[in-house]
Amino acid sequence: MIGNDVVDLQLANLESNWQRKGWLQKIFTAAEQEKIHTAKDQNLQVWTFWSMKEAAYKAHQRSFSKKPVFNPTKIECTSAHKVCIDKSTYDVHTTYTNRYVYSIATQYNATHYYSEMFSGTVDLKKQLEQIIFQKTGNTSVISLKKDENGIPHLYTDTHNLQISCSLTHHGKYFAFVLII
Amino acid sequence: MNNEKLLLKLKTIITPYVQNEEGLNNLSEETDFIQDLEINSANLVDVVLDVEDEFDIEIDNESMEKMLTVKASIEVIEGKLAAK
Repeated sequence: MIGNDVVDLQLANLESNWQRKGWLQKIFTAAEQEKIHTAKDQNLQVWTFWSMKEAAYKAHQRSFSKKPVFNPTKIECTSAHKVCIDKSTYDVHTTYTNRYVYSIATQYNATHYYSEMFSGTVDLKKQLEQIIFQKTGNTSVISLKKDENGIPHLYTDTHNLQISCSLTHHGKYFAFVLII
Repeated sequence: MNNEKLLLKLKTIITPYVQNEEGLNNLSEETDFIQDLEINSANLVDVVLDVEDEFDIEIDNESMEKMLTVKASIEVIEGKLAAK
């Protein structure tokens, strides 16, 4: 199971004021808040934790076919690479630049995933088709459908490819990750 | 406060965070904040904080968990107002 999340740092700073009264408390556990307050770059720490939580939440939601809920304090970053939700633990790999933070969450340290990041406009469907062709030889036209829980699935005609995938978009950045 | 008034107040609160204007024009109880209005998930917290300020109520995490649609949000607000 897999999940990903990108935060466009420039846009995040325009859209959200994490210093707003009550904001951190609604999203982060006491331990996470402590780590944020003692971090060298508090802003980066906020968005790193956020993207880790979002990525893990997506993987978790897919694992259990869960209905969407909004309870970020139940998703806890227990270290720089681990996130716990209920009784599940996810391994999270986070990439930083000064423009974005990008997290990929997997379970059982899966390493056989493929992720790509784009900036600006991109034909995501075409990119996915190319990757699926490269990796599997499948030349079919791919379509992307979200199920009733908002979880994306990849199809050829009506056949579900059974490829675990996750997509994310924020501001200038788009990324996908596939277990393939 | 009747349901219609509450819906109007909620609409005013969510408007600055909506990225899909069409969804806002077709606002109904069934409207989903993320799927239909494309509200950024980080801004859902702002919606909750704005609701707390506007109605002078406190929304605990258990209630916040449900606040992903107009209908669920109205139910939470009504419940908290009734308990005041």
